[in-house]
Amino acid sequence: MIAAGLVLSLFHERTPFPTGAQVVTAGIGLFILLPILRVILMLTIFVKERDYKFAAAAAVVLLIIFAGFAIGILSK
Amino acid sequence: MNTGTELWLFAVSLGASALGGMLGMASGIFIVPVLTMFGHVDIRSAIGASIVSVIACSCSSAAPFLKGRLTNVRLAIVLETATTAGALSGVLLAGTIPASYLFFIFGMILLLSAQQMLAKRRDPALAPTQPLTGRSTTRRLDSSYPDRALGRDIAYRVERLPMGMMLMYGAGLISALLGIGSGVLKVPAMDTTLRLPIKVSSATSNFMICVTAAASAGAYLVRGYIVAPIAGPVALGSVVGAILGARVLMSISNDRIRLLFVVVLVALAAQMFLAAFGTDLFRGTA
Repeated sequence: MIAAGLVLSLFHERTPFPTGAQVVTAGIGLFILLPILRVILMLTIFVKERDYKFAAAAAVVLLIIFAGFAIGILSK
Repeated sequence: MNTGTELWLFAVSLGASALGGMLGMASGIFIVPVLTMFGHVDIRSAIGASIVSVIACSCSSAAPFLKGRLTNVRLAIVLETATTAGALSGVLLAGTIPASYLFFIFGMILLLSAQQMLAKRRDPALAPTQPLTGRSTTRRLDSSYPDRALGRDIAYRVERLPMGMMLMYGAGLISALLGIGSGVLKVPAMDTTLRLPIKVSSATSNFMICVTAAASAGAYLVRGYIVAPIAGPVALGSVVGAILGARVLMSISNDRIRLLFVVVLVALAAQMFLAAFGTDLFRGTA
């Protein structure tokens, strides 16, 4: 995954026109997505282990992250 | 933004995070000052770029810690509710706070890191622990980790969780505001409040930084603070730099570099304070 991000950024350095910037933004988006995926993974593991208190904590973390996106969009 | 600038950004962040990595520190604390002072990058864009590189570094170094069973995942997720909430408040504040305040807070954090680097970390788990208190939920956070040096598992318990949560909220806030991992704030919080063993708190803090940074980076990205031509090369450079730095960390003695770093940190802090009060040595007037 990280390698993919790196390749995307490298690709950009060879193409210094607008589309390159979009590719890099995609790469950055991927970086941001990684930890979110990790939290989702933790959530599913906790639910599977019937560890509902910690599953709830994971869900709260996810909610807060998405709230961050929402705030970003609203305050643009 | 031409290829030359990108190469320059790449090289600078490589250097910054190699330096950071040598002492096992996050790179963000060097990247923002260097970008704003020498790159003449707007502090908000610098913060946006830095937060991406924080994610990149934290993610790429988390795997070995998890494998070594050093990360307390349960504790991490509980504390993450506080850090992400803090990050959210930080993002909200970042929109309203004037840039000069940001410089000032950054200077304070730099000084704090310098002070922390001078003081040797004492292993809190080795200090006598208080008798068992707290509810069963807290107790389920207790865990153990394998200590290679002693060759056995060391059990530890988590103490004073509410206080720890509050400190984590603060750490998350600062992290989002300044685009740093703020391990500087997390690690002492875990050392002195939760009384975790050093290895566990380093690993768990690293694990949390990633998620905290993602919370603020998401908001910054949709808000347009993350400028791709800056953030791309910076993220790339800092990952490479962190790997190089970690390699070097194994092979050099620590004390002299530690001192050098304190000097660098204090110098950067001084520069940040100057910028905060409107005079800038490198740009004339801010």
